[in-house]
Amino acid sequence: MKRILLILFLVGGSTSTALGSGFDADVYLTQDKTMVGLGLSVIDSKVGLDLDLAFIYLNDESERIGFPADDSFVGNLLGIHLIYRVHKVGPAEGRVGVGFDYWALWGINGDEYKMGLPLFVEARYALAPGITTHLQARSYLIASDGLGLGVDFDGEETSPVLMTVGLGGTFQ
Amino acid sequence: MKMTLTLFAAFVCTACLPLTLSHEGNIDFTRYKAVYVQPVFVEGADLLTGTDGGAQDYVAAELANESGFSIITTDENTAHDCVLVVSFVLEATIDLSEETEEYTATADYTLRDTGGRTLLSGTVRDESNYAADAIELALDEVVHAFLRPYRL
Repeated sequence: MKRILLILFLVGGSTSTALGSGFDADVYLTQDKTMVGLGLSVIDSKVGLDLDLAFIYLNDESERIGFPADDSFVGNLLGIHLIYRVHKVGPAEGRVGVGFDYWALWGINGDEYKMGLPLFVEARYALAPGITTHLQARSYLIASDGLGLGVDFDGEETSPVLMTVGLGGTFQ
Repeated sequence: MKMTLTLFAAFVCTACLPLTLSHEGNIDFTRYKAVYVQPVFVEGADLLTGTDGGAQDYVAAELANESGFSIITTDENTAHDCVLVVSFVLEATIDLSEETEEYTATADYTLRDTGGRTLLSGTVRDESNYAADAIELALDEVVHAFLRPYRL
C-alpha cells in the first residue's frame, strides 16, 4: 500500500495550465509516522472547497503503547475544508482554510476516532503548466483529547502544527 | 536546481514535527484488571426475551482483544474486581411498501466494582438492515468504551 501511495505521489497531477481547482498527492511531515494522501480542491475566483484523504502508518521503529508491535496501519485522516485564496501573484498564490478533520483510527479499533477543527495556511506554486506544488501548515482550533499535534511520545510539546507538502495538477 | 532540491530536502527534514495519538482509558485499568461479564439481557424483535450466552461470549471475546482488562471472565466464580452488565433492546421497522427492514439495537452498559459502585455506564445505539449486524455494532460500541489505553 505504501508503494502504491508513493507512486501516486510521484505521478500525481493532471495536465492543464494554471493554479486553481485540481488534485494533489500529499506527504504529511510527521515524526515517527508515515502519512501520505490525496487532496481535491475546487476553487472559484476566491472561495472553494478542499477534500483530503490520508493514510496513517506508524513507522516500524517508533515507540508505542497499546498498539501491536507488528502492526503499522493506524487509520485515515478525512478532511473537508472551506478555502479562501488570499493572494495570487503570477505562478504563486496563498490560501487559508478552515474546516473539519476526522481521524478514523481503524487500525486501533473500528470505533476509535479523533476530530479537530483545523485552520491552515497554504502556499501554492505552479511549477509548469498544469503542475503545482504546495506547502501547508495546519493547526487545530479545537481538537479531541489525545490528538496531539506537536506533542512527542514523551509528552514534550513543540509547535502544534502539521505540515504538508504536495505535488498536483490543475483541472482546466 | 541541485541546490534547490538540497534546500527542499533540508526543509522537509526539519519541518517534520511530532504527532501523538493517545487515549488514557475510560477507567483505571491498573486498579480494575479483572472483569466478569454477566450474561447479556436481550429483548425485542426476533429474539426471545432473556439472557443471551452468545452475546455474553461475544462481548468477552471482544474485550479480550480490545480492552485494557487483563482478565476477562464469563464465570462469576473466577476472581474479579468489577462486573460488566450489558443489556440491549432490538427494534425492527418494516416498510412493507418498499419491502425493507431496519433494525435498531440499543445497548445499555454499566461497569460496577464488587461493592456495587458504578465505575462507567452509558447507552449506545446502532442501526442496520440486518438484526445481527445492528446487535454486533452496538456490542462493539460497548466494548469500545473500555478500549485499552494507547499512545503512538
